[in-house]
Amino acid sequence: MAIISTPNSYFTNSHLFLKFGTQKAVISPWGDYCMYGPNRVVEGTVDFSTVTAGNTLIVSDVTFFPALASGQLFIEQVEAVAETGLVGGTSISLGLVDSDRSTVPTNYGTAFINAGLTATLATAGNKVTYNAGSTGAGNLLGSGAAIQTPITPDLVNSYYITATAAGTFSAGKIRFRIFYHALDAAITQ
Amino acid sequence: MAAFQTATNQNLIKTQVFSNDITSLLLDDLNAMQFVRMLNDFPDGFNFNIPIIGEAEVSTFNEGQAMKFQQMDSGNFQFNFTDYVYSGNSMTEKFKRDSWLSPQIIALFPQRQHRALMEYFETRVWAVGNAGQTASSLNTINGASHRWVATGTGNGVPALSFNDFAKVRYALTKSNVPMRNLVAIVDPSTAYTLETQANVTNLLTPAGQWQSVTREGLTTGFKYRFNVYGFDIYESNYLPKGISETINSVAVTNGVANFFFDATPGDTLPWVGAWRQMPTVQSKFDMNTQTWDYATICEFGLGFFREQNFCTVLSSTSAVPV
Repeated sequence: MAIISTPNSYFTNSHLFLKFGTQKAVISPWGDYCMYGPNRVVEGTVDFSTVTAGNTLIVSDVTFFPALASGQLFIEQVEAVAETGLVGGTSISLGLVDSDRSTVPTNYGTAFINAGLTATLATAGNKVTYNAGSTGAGNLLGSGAAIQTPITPDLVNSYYITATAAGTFSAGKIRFRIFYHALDAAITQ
Repeated sequence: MAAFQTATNQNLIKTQVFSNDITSLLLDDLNAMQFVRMLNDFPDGFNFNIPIIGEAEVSTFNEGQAMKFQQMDSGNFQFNFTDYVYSGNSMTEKFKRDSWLSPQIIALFPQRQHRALMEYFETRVWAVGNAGQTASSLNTINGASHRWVATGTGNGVPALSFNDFAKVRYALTKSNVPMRNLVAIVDPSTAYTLETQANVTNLLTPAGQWQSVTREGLTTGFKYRFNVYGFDIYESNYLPKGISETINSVAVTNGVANFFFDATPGDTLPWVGAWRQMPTVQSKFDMNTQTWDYATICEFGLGFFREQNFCTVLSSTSAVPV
């Protein structure tokens, strides 16, 4: 599994991701809704025809998933909605990669969705809700992303969200929603 | 014969006479210090962190639907002290009494020691720059190489050419470097190869300053007399040498690293540095050994901060015939 490189970009020695020219104007489809209610929601789309077989795409360079102290964050569920049905390939995964854009902690590459089957999202309008224990549920559902020792020289501790394709997809645009909330615990920092 | 004669009175003649003047050394210019952004807010502690915040991005707004909010990427440059060095000399009390030169030698101690430290600092700045890039790699940023083997040929080996200056401009432009104060630090061998290029020496009516190259040479002191492709060019004997690399299938053996960057003051500069202890002269008389000890000591750190604003062109010092 390799991270798909972004054209006209450069990751500095200071771990700042730079983009140049027209790459700066590419629309960013991911973000965090201002949500009042039980959950916070990160949402965005992935066009799996751009995710080469066996490789991983960082879905956004400005949307990060938080890492909090153990017992402070709870990933409740993940939704996948097919806006364009998946064609080809065998499965898709949604996960996390560390702030150095290369280190994937064990099982974090499938943190949200672990090999969700193509057949379940093959038709536009198909919707799959992943909860802990359901088929294709990611490894971190029902828990949270752990705080790691920041990858030097980073001082912040958060993760990029990734999408991985098993097999080659000729089409398939999937909208993902990650529902998470804080637990009723005393803050530690 | 009653006259004093040299032949018969040699004990009355000093056989060796010494000048009271100590011959000065030929010293080259030191340039590196001016290209290092010195940090003043690091008076104590081990690590100094300089945060960098990235850019915001654009999303499509759909009428009546909530916006999604994003963070920005961030980076962190971590810096610490790298060098704690001194230069020390001593003189015995007996030599101090016996030698008529001892006052002058003692007077030279701090001067020579400070120069030694500054030459070390100069060498370290260039070495940190060279080590900041990946050896044997194009160090590509936004599709443009930032390290390559010189594209010219001199004496059968890679030598700096005018194409390399233009290529540096391309690389720095692609990296969004402002290019308002371009500087090149080059090995002295490069002036030879440029001065002897056929298109400089053979043209009967070359324009402007180039017309004077065959008359006055390209350099004065340790600096080129005029800009080349917008670069202020300094010559240095302290650049990293003995480099053997193959970059993009082009090899250089026993090469020297020539550096190109924009020297606009501020955080554009490729290097950051800090003094924990400025060069300080300390001395004492040691009663046990009956010696006078003098030392100049300093502690500083250097970091390679802005790799986008830095190009290395490797050339061979063998480009100048023996």
